[in-house]
Amino acid sequence: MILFKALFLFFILVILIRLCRRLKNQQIRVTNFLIWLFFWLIAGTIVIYPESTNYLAHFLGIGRGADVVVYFSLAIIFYFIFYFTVRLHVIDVKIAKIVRNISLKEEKDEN
Amino acid sequence: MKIVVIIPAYNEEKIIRQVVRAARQESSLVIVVDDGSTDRTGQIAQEAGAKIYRHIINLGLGATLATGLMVARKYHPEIVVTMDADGQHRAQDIPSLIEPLESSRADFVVGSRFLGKSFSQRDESVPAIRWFYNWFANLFTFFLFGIKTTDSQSGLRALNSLALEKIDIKSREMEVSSEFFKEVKNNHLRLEEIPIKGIYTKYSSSKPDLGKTQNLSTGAKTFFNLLLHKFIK
Repeated sequence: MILFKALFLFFILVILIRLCRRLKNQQIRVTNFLIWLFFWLIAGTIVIYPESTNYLAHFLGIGRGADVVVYFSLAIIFYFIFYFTVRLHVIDVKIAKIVRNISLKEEKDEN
Repeated sequence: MKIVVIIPAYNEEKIIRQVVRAARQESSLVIVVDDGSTDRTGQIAQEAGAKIYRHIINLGLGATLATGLMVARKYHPEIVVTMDADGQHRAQDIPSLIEPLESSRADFVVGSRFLGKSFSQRDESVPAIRWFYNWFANLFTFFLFGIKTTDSQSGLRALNSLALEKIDIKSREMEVSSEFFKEVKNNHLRLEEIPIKGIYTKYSSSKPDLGKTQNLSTGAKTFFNLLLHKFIK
């Protein structure tokens, strides 16, 4: 169990360092940085104090703390799949528009 | 009557000359939109007398047809016909395809390979898997967009100037065929189907994208994209 905690905390630490680096290099917005920082700090808290999820589980009327973590993780993963699918679709449309304009411009230049 | 034929093409150098020449017999202008071909499709089509517009990368059938429609608007045609580049459609079907437009009975006409034909009555050249794929696609098109058709995947279509102005294609890939029906419904256009004969030659059947596995995976992808279009504007 201690090994699991140590590995997980190390993993979270690496992510936090990378996150700070991204903020420093202006590769991420401050709002996004704060959201991710909050998310990983919560994850770290749950790793150190797993029983803390029991309070939330009790509050939400879910049996065990571990179940709360699973439910929330699934909801977050599904949200991101949806978010990226939509983003990809938007990017697809933009690429098509650029390519189309280039083809029209090339034809115009030829004449 | 000013008729413009749009042919979306991707790596069709073996047959494009023949297709363009046949289309020229039935139209005032042939526009080939070369969807980033890696062979000589564009060059050969140009030699055969088509006007060429070239995508610098391969985008997919939907985006290519959308480019074709956008280009066609510049020429102010009375009728626009879309047809496949792989020789699957006969240019001699164009007069009967555009007849409902000329007599003002319809705004959008689809050449159907399956009109009035059950599975056992289908043309001998139509592979069984294609018949089932189309049947399922028709059902899906009806379920999503509420429009009945016998050939939702047909690439041979004719539009009058009203349909050309109203139809706004957003899909990038194969789902464009069903999207045309969605646009017909949303814009209250009059639809008519006329029977045509699909030609499944050795050439078109040997194309890698028509392999059985590819067909199934392409089909699944098409249905997913259609769902996406239904719910995302």
